[in-house]
Amino acid sequence: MTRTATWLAAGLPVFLALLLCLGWTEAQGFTSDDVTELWAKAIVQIDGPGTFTASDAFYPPVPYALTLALQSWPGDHLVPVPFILAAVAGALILLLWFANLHRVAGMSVAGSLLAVALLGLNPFFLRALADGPETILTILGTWLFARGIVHLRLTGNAPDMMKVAVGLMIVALSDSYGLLISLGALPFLIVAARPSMITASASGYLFAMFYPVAAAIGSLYFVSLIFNSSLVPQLLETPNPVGTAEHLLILSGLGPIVIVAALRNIRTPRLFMPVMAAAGTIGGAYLLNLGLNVEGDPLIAMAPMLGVAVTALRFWPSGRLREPVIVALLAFALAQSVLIMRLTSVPETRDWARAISGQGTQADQPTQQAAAFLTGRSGIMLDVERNPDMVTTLHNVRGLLIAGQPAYDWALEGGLPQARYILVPRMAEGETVTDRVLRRFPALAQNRLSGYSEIYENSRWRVFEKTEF
Amino acid sequence: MALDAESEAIGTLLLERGALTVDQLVAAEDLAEGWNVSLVQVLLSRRWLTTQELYAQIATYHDLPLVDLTSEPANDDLVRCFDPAVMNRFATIPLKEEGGIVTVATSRPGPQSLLHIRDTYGPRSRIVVATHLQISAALQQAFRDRHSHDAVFALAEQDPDMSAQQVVTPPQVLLIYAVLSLFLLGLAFAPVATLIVLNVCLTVFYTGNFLFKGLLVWIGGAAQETSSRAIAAEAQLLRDEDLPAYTVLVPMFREPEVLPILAQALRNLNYPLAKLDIKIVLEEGDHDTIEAAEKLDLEGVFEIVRVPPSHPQTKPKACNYALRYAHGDLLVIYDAEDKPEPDQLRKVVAAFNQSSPDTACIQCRLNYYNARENWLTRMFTLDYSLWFDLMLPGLERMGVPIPLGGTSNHFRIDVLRDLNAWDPFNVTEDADLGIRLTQKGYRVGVIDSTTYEEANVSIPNWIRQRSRWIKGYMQTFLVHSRRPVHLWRSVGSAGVFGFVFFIGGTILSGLLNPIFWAIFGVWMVVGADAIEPYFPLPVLYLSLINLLAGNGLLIYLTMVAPFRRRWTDLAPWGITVVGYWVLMTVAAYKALWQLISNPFYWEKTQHGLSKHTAAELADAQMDGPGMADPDIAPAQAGGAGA
Repeated sequence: MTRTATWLAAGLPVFLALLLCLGWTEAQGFTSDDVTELWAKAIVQIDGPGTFTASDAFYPPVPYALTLALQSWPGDHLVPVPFILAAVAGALILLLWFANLHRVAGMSVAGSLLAVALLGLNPFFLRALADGPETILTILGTWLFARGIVHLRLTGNAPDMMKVAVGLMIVALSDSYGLLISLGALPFLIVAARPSMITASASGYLFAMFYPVAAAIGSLYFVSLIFNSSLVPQLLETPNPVGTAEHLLILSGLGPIVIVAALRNIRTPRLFMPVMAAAGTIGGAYLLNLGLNVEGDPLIAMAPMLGVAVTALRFWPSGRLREPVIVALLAFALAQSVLIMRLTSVPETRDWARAISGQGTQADQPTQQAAAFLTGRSGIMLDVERNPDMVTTLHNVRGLLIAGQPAYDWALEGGLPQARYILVPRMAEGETVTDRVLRRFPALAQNRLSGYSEIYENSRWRVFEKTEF
Repeated sequence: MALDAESEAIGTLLLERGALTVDQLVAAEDLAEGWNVSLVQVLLSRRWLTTQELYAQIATYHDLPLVDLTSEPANDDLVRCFDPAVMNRFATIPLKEEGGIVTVATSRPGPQSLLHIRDTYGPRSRIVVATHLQISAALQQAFRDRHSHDAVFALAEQDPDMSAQQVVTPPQVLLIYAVLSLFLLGLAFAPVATLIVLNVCLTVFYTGNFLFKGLLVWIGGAAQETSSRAIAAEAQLLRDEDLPAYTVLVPMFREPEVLPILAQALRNLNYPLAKLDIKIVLEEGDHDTIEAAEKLDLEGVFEIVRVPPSHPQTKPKACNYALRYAHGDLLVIYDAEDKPEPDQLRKVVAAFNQSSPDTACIQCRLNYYNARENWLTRMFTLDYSLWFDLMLPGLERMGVPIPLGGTSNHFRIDVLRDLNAWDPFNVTEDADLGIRLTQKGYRVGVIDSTTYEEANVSIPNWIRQRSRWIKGYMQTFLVHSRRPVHLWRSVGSAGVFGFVFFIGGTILSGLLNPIFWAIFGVWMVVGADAIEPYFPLPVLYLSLINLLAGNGLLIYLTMVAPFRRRWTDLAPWGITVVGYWVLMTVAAYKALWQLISNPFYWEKTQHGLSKHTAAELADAQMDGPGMADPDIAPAQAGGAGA
């Protein structure tokens, strides 16, 4: 009990600090797309009508299930539920890192605290936090995987094998990019393996290592099948065009610290090889992502390297200068990461960097204005899955007409719309229409839908009201 | 340890009479000094001269007559007047009484025996010499009925609550009746609600079962690494002279073909052969095996114990019978086809030295030498790897009663005797004994030393064997759940929890699997409408978790199991474990039927079917001392000393 109380006492301020950080960026007008989407899904599922039929995948299931659980907690949720989850997971990670460095690696309390503070303040960590539970859980899974892979090389026992599997499962089920991390791990698991493990059968070794991921994905497909949901469409994101120089810049944030820590053990192959394999896994996933665009933001794709960095530092050999060197490396990584955030051209991370430095963005103002306009109205037809920001701004779906309700389904399946209001996004010329209501009734774009007339518009939204009953 | 004067004198006599060569004598004296045993004990563990020749020289040395108890048998009535345990300990037996003078035969003439004979049989006793095997056989003859009765009924008479002689007790019958009645009443008045409740219970049980197994593997995989190293280190440092006498029981039935393998495996043990008391336990009527054993002309440390026929004809009964003639401080059971790792006995001694005084048993790991013979042997190997390499260490760490495996369990013989040893009415007497030991306040340890066995290669044979095991688990569960409060007090909450899930879970999952498979089949074919009334949404989700995550985890654990031994080539076969579960289900229902119809019937597993066994047999015959040993084989003779 005392131990639990100590953990809680230590975790609470860290949690509050992280939540404060998230609140600060939100107050500056930044909320990541992932957070918005996740929270909107939870709001619709929990607060929406029981008849709501989601066409989007429930993937990734771990953050989604956790968000649903928290959203179902009674009361008003003024703080975005994914923020709370991300802050809890972030605090947990920082505490686990502290325990790992202090208790397992034998660093002093001050040294461990300083190291964890530098990790927690690293912009890659804070950016991952702002991206929501998906990314922060991916960091947790990567750390477990990296720990497991090193321990597996050292001991070869079952729990370490299970750690590797659990780590891979967490990343694969927490974020679609986690699937790439799992894929990236494929060659590196062989690099990290104890020679005795692959002597009998390298394929058998790999098969057992990847079975949990394959079984988890297979299970998801099965569930998706029996509940008539989908899995694949959500996996790919819109790529952000980033040049080679910027990719190198991004890699320079966390890459050096991992490489230096790994090289420190170059004469101990049983440590050097698995640490390099863990780093190679993230590097491999990053490379794969360049072609597949599963994670649109390359900075987020690099954030799981933090987990590898902690594992690499934990195995830094004992010595008088160990702690100062570790702290210096982490300080360098932090400074370099700050520079990267200032220079990046990736829109969402750039917005976040502006928000965290107190330069407010007005990106969500049109949505707030439209939501204010709709306050007190009901029977508003909206494609909630394609417009999650409106759902989160409204905080509920009480006045909305959504998929699963007869009036909505009737209209989308070829009938005449019966909704009192229709809310659709304003589309720029030539922009691909994703909103299914707008796709079904393209005349809305020209305000020519029979029986409806536009009653509100701003740079982001258009509201139509039924004129004929 | 310097050689005692008697050994020196006997050695000189044997040399003078040409019974031993100089080299043999020197080697024997070296071994006797190194092992801290008498020269006679060393010579009994060699085959340089026959037992009869050796005892003839001993008799000559002591100036006593040598008697042949087969032509001059002991008076059984007279023998029965004395304590068989004491006679067994001192290797003495009264032969006859004439004019108030008792003629006493001993295989260990010497000052200590002389004092014992004077104290027990009077100062005017006449002493003669007989071989230890004949004395033991005469004791067995005299106490045949009594020991046969004790072997069967000692536990049931002295500790009836712990015996499976009564399959279910009246309170258990009442409980089963009440539960069944309640279920039928429920079906009559509220069928849907009853089925939902039943469903919830079973679903929760399944969830608990797979979580518990995952936890066991997690804990068990991490356990033992440190202690294994410490035990291995001490085992290497143990001096031969400090090693205790060890009884090895090998119960066999109609297995004459594997005897040479067994003898060779036991000779290969890195333990002074002279400190081994090896008892090949055979049914009196098993003439083929008895004949084959006699033909092998084994060393004097091997003794054939003939078990009188009685019911139930089970392995535990045979072991109970042989236990009465055991001489060791520690005792181990091996099956006929077992191949223990050579340093196993030393590791066990080290483990006992390092364990708390309440440790009564050390269980070694079991695995198979013919793992890759066919699909069944692969699955069996994965099963055993999971059970012995990961789960049992987990049970040990969690303080849960450990159901002992079939062989390679090493006991402190005093505790074993105190607890009335094995329950002959339980067809998994070893599993039962493990639980009983914990209930009686003793601890069971698990160590990292493996005995390799022959995996079943034939499915019908496997089902026979597995159905016996599951029936035995059912008996064990019924016996130890008779007094739930006592169980809880003696093993604690974790122990009860582990007992229910490990013993009960093994039984119940086999019985319930086909029901859930059928429900799943109905769902897939007919659709959710057919099952929805009985699966409210939370239960459906939990069932889905069981189906996907639970089964996925169990498959994964099967894959993890062979990694400890680096048998990574077996891991992918884990995916086919579902087929193995189907076989388990068949075995479970057969076991249930047998529990009702023929609870004490011992389904005999046929050994020697593997093609590896034929090769083993050939190797054993090649390596046997009769063929491979030179006249003097100090390296092998040294065994432990080497």
